[in-house]
Amino acid sequence: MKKTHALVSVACALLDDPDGQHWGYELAKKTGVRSGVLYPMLSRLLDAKWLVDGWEDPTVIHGRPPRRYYQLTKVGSSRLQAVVAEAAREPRFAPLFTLRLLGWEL
Amino acid sequence: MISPFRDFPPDLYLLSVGLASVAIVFATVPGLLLRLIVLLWPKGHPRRAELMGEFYALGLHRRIVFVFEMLEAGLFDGLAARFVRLDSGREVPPPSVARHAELWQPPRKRSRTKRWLYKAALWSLVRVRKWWRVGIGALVLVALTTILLVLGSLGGQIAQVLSLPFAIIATIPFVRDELKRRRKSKDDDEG
Repeated sequence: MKKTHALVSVACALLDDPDGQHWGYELAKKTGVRSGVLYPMLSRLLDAKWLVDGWEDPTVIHGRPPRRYYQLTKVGSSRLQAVVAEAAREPRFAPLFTLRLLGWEL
Repeated sequence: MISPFRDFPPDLYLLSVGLASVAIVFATVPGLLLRLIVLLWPKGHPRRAELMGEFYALGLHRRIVFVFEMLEAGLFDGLAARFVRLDSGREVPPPSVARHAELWQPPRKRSRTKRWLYKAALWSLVRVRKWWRVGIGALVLVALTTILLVLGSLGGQIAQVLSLPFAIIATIPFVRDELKRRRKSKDDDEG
């Protein structure tokens, strides 16, 4: 998978909570990646089996349709960790990690 | 009463009224607009249900921004999904949809004419991709540019149609002023 700023930002956001469920729009807000980029990327991650997806339990929610969540797989977790580790060594991703160190959500 | 719009340039006035009417449509019926946007994805694609779920989970004030953002996602992700389906012509769901097989509906059987038209479209698409060595993304961009050019040429008319009710309402002060002036001049003449 091509290593881009968007992928690294999303990988960092996913790895912040590796066992948790992530919503598409929530990821977009956290990382600042535009939805026109994020949703195709999520589809690619699903196709590569780095992520699995599911739907909210309709019995728990009331008055609205269920949301789709994304969860990291073990393979996905290790691959994305490798992506982030590689990116951390490349100067072009330096601003991204500096902002993260300063506590800014990307 | 002197109308506040008396010295306002008519073109600028109509444009601002058109823009205001579009903004009002976005603000009042974002759900309806999102339902139209999700139609950009092919039938049975999980993104259709996903975006509706995300939309209703948001607070009211964030929904308008969400719809604006999804317009972009629809143009790039939704149209690309349609192109991929047209390009591959596959009868089975793509991997990203296969997990929701119950949502997938295979393409319907087409008549002979439609089948030939479909084959011709597919053939030209494959040729163009081979000759120009371009990917699906570039073809989507070309299609979008064409659509935007056509919409751009129609844009003026669309804005005028949208702004028509507001323009009619806005002329009421002018008409009222004119009627008053005429009545006054008639009274003066009679006096």
